[in-house]
Amino acid sequence: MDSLRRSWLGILGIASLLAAAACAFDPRARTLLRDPPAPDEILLAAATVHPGPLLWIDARSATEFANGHIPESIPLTLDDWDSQIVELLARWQPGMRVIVYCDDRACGSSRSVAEKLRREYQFDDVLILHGGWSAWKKSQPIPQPR
Amino acid sequence: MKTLDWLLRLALAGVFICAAILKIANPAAFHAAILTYRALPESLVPVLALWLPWVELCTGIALLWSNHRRAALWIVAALNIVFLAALAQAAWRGLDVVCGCFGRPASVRGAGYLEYLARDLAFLLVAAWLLRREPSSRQAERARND
Repeated sequence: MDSLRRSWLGILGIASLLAAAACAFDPRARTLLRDPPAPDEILLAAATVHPGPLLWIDARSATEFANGHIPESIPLTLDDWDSQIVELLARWQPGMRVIVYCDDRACGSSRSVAEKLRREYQFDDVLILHGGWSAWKKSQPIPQPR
Repeated sequence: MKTLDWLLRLALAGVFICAAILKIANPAAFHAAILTYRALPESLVPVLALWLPWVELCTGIALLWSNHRRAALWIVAALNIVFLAALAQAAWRGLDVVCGCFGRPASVRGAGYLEYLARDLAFLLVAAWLLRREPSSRQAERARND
């Protein structure tokens, strides 16, 4: 029994040491530990593996949207709400998850848009993309020069 | 019979090592998958997402190491009981989850749960079979002395 216990402790101990080393040297692991998403936020990795239909909402300015956005996302800002909400309502279907993003963690427009959708339109599955557009851009492969 | 034991052990080790490497390569995706089970406090999920793959890796390697085989088989059995419980509670609550089993996101819902429950049950039965066939440390010591 003693040797069995020693083996268990050995396997779990080495695994824990390796995990700690990974946390020390792997920046992705450190990000997970230091910067966990808020309850109404979703990590990009979680969003991309969501099994159901998704609707991306871009809460940045029209210029920023024109310069680049997540494919198939819809622009929606508080300033142009009335004209832009039409497209969202046309594309939204029951059971669809809505993910709002703005520039990065520090911007608040995605939160304002998400709150308005929840409060005034009774959308119950509205989340904010953790890290926003910056997180999306970071996840994309860097284009190679030809 | 010894060949069958050896093949089963090799297969089990292969599954655990592959699953671990794929999860270690993408900790955010595994983190996102665990979140979909809604079974743990969110603050614990990053720790589990970073620690569990290393436990799987060390267990997989230990399965191939005669001195630690028995302990590794107990860990395999325990892990599969945990995986079965996680899947069963998610199926019971009607959740759409992401398996996260082999790094690659695979959505699980409705009848799809049966396949994953059956697979984990099969791994559990293989581990139980090998544990029955594996001599205990006392028996192994006696055999060595004889």
